[in-house]
Amino acid sequence: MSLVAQPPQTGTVLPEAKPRTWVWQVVLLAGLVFYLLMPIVGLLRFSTRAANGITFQYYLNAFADPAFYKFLGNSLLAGFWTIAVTLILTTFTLYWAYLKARWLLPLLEFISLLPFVVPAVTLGVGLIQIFSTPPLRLTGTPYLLIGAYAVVTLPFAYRAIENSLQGANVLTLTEAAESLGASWWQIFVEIILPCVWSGVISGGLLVLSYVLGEFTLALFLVGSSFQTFPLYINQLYSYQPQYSVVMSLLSFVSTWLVAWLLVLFTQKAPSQT
Amino acid sequence: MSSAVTTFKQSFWLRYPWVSTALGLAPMAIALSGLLVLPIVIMVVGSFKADQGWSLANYLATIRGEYLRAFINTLMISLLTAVLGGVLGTVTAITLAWGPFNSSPLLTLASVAANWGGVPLAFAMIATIGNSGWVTELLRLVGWDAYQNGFTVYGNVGLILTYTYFQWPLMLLLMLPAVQRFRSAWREAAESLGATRSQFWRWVGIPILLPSMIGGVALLFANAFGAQATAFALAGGALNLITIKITFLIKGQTSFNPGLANALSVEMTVVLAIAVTIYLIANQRARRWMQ
Repeated sequence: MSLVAQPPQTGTVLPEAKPRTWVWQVVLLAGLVFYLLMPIVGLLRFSTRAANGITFQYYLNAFADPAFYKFLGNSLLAGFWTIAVTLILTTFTLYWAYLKARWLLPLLEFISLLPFVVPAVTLGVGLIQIFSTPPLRLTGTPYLLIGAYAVVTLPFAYRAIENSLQGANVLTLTEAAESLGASWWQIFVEIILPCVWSGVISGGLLVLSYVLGEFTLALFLVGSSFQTFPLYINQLYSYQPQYSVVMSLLSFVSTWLVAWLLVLFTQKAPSQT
Repeated sequence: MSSAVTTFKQSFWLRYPWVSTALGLAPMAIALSGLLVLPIVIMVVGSFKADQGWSLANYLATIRGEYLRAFINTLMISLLTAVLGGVLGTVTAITLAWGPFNSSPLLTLASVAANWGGVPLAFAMIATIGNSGWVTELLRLVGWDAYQNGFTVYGNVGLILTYTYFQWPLMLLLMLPAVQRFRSAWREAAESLGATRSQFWRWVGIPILLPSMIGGVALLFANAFGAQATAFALAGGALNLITIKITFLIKGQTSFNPGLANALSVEMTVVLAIAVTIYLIANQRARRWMQ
């Protein structure tokens, strides 16, 4: 800081270079940090407040509840299958489009913006009307939820995998492998997948983070028959608010964990190639 | 014999290359049409249907009374949080990129905050600026009781403060690439030609950053306009928002009316499509400076 504030020593400097102070910038950044941490302090205080001082009893009770494991398990299950479906579908389709139908790439790019145009509420309104009548009665089942998540999380998978496919020269690699007699399945699994592995991992983490926090589609499509973690947090608040706040804190920590892993993987990526 | 089969196979795939192309793209096409296109079609068709066949009754109901008020309220809140988050995020991005600060811990925090949201955020805000939240109580100690002065976390102002929690860091993350690629040569050129700080902003800084800013604000607007979980957990049906109205039209016992929900959803989609189009156009403009 002091380095910046010092006036220039040499004679040939710009006339404008007067000493700068960073007072309001520091205030602004401190304000952001305060604003982003303030609700976390609220969660911590609310979940540890007791009649006489501090208690961690709510944490013990909340984590002792078998319902917690059941509903977190539901969310993790949905997350796992969503990751599998979205990533396999996106990787394979993008590879195929790169190889055989480059004219499709702008269309795929457009599709990756659709969740902003068709948010969870709107998609839920449409899906619930298709899948609640007899020929395809799927509301209340995890299959419909996973299908909906797979479509909604396409943008995350698309961005991540497109980034890593661009770096690799897919066409040349495929032609080289073909001329050496590899089958298309071999090419996909042994050559293309390793190229996009970092994209697959970061895409998977983003999808997981989304599914663990998703509330609207779960409320619309499954409700109480396949209760997910966010639905559980919301329901818990009406009769055990402290437990619900403990769970909210857990959700923040898990989002943090995913962000940290993402930074870890994206920083490692350049050194690998 | 086996070689004859292989030759046939190869020649088939070579003769009709579009077959393999189509087969490879089919899974994605089926998933998208069944789970994205079909719901939209059903929604649009359903919005024009009432009890006795085709009609505009659903749309007429949306431009009256509580639904019109909800629409206007949602628009106002989304615009306010988009502009508020947009200005704060842009200024923060400039401060981080051009100042002598180590930005990486703050950026991790920002990306967590921008991605978190939803139900847990609503409860965290209640524990912070709710009636017995710690900030509220701190302000009471200092001598200002927000709840005596009409403030409540369950109202529109509370919702705006809550949305700012993810809008501010989201704008910071959206603007940072544009600000970082802003060439210091441009600033030095302006300075060496004798531009004052306000002249620099008027003629160089703002014109170059404005397209990215408009694009970011449009995305923030869409983000707030389509949001449901945070508001639903914060105040249930008390907040007058389109997404909340739709939720009760679909899930409610007494107010069940899918036709009306369809019409509101179509109107929402139109507004969001406009916002995303603005984002796309602004983004294209912004790229001119980023070669």
